Amino acid sequence: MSQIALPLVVRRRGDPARIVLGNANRHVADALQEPAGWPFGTAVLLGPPRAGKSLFARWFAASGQGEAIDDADRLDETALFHRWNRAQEEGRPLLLTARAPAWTIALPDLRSRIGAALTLEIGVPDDAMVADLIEAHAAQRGLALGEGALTYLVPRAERGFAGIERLVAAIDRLSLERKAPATMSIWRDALAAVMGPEQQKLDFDPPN
Amino acid sequence: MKATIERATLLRCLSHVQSVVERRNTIPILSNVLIEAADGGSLKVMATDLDLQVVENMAAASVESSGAITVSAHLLFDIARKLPEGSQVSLETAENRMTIKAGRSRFQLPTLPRDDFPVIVEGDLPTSFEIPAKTLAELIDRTRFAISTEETRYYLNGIFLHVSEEDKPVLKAAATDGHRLARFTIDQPDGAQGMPDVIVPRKAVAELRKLLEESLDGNVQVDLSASKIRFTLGGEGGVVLTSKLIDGTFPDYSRVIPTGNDKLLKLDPRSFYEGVDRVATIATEKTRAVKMGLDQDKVILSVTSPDNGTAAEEVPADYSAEGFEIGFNANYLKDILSQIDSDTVELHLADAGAPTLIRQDAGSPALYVLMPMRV
Repeated sequence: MSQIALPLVVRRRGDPARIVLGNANRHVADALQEPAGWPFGTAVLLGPPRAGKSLFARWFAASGQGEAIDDADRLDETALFHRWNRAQEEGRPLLLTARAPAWTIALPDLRSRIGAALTLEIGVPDDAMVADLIEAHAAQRGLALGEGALTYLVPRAERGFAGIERLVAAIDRLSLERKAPATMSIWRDALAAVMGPEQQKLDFDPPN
Repeated sequence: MKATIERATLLRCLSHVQSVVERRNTIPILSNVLIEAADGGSLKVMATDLDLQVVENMAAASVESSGAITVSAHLLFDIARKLPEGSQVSLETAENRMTIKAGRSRFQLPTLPRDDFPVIVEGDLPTSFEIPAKTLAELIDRTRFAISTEETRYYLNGIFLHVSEEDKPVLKAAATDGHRLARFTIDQPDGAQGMPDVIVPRKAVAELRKLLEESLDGNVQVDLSASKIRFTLGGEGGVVLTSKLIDGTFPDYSRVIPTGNDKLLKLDPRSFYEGVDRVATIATEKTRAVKMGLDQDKVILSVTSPDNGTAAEEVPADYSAEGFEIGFNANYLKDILSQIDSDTVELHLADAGAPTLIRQDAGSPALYVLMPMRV
């Protein structure tokens, strides 16, 4: 039997959420600051789950540059079309977010409008960004990752926003369950927990 | 400096301050206590580890000449301990030495100048309130066992104190190590309104609790800011403990306190404790796991160990919800059960993987949350 950890959350309500900028999303941040250049004043932000689409949308709306509609792909298409029209009439830039890659639109009018808009897609984080993401998630959880963690984790971690978040959560959980600092054995077990066990190497050393 | 003190007074005072001093120090003066003799016939003794300092005043039999000096805390304590009971101890300093004389004994200890002795700068402590020493002692006793000792989560290495305005204004103390959580709630003392959230470090808690033991009848004055806390205790001459606070954010612990656990188990905490203790005899040292099988009006405690065999015990209980099995660390259960000072304890359970709420009853100031083990 093994101890289960309390689901403690360190982050307090009211703490500002952070967006880690890197190769996968820097072009998004740049484009959001120039809504004047968007075709028909509309941009569509696509990205995988947990990639920060809602944070970008909130940030854009809070910046006062225009309106943001988060999860536009889950909205009623007619309602969305009306909102698009209203934004056009008022000359207000409109940012829509949707899950990558497939946002299939049935309404032909809406499809053509969205098709003409600027498409921004959050890409795949590179090593540097994976490292920054791991650090940011750990800092948010009040988790000390231990020396050499990034050198070990970055080449082995899944190149995806949700996967990186799950990995850090697993390290946090295992370290809390074992009441032990996050070190190599915990990094390894966390990787195995989120990605499955590592391929065993053939043992060429003859047994002594 | 030259002063004479009764051995008992010196010993009691040193026993209070010496445990603040770490056994190993890279900065030599941190091994020392500061002794300051004033003309009025009083002596001040002070010890620090840079994060925590304790200052105690004691009455001297006589002060022939005032002055201040620092000398090894543990040596002076050990000497005072071994001096004959009832003796008068004379302390005299000269040329980097302190001479300690009592009866036919004579010691000379090296000293370091008082100016090098570090003192915690308290700064402004805008929140001030008084709390009965007994209440503060109970608050500590009911929570400290849950303080984490894992150092990388430094923000769990203490007791979290915060005020809250609920049905009535309260002050809450909480501690957790990620496996269990203890919370103690008291009426908000006058003056605590608007108090910043603070985390009092484990060592300060331990030293404070020791000092409280000798002055349980009085009140304790608490003064604090977001970075420092000071406890002033009455008693002879008084003791002042000042500690830095842990600079970190305590988790939003209220979110792990279950509110909808619908399976209620009521039983006698003593027979429960004893049963757990007995079956845990054969549990492996590493996990200490005990399984609880809940059934109509009984709990079957059991342990199965691959090396040591099996054990089981039935404990009568009040239980009418659906039967199921849940596992706990025996030591955690015992820690919590030994806090319950009553004939019944309530366990509010949900399922084998969910936090379990343990308390004496709905009105008790102490509340515990225990996370189960995977069975």
